[in-house]
Amino acid sequence: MAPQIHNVASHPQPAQADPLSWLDVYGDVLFRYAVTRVRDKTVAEDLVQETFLAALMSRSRFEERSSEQTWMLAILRRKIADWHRQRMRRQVPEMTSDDPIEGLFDSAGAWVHRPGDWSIEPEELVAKSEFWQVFSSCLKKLPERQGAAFSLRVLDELTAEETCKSLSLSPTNLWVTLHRARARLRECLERFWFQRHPQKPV
Amino acid sequence: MLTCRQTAELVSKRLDTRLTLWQSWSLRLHLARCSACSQYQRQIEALHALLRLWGRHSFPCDARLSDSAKDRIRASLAKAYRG
Repeated sequence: MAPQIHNVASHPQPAQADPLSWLDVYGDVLFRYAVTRVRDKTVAEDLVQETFLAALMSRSRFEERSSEQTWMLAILRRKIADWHRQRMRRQVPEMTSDDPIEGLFDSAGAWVHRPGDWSIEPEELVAKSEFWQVFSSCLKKLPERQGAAFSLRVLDELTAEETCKSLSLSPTNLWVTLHRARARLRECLERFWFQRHPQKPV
Repeated sequence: MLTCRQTAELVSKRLDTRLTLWQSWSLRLHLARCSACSQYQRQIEALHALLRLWGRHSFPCDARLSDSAKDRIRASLAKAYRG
């Protein structure tokens, strides 16, 4: 493999803003990122504040290879993961009888109801507010741990290892949790949206 | 031969870890023969795409920090900065 040449001159040094101006520069961006994930304005505000304080403490370690915004978002992601973990500690363990997989298959392991046709153009659904209402309420119905794991893994794009660490789960636990989250969310959308809005054959 | 139940499990697991050779071979074999499970796999892929879209669209892109939150954050930042 050819050695990589780092031409410093070709990378303009990202400006490092004065910490006191961070709020004006990054405040809303970080807030939007956080509020989408934690679904609570006050919590999101606190997370933004904690992110700035943590950034201030570790400012000397900021590597100018990344932009300041990328660096702050990375800190915020860790704060969000911490928040999920702390919440989880306060949760009662989920009941094992509440297994979304149970009703899907017969005793021979075959589908009871064949999965329906979701040939959708996701971009087309963007405009349908009724769909997103259903989607949000299905998400809300996920048990805490499943919702957190699924959101960290898919929205925050953490690796499976990082998600395990964030939620203090073993890999096997994580797979089971994510499988249940996917199955439950799928079932909810199938019942409350796709069966009621059959897709037109293309 | 995998059951549909085992297949659904592997469809999910494959998104989070590398399957063993045996698992991925059995999965492929089952999916090639079973349209219900193939449909399930497509649904799960769609689910991920939908969650990402939701993340981008569910909150108005103009959501902003409130003035009171800004005051609070500014004060704590200034305090920590100036020591």
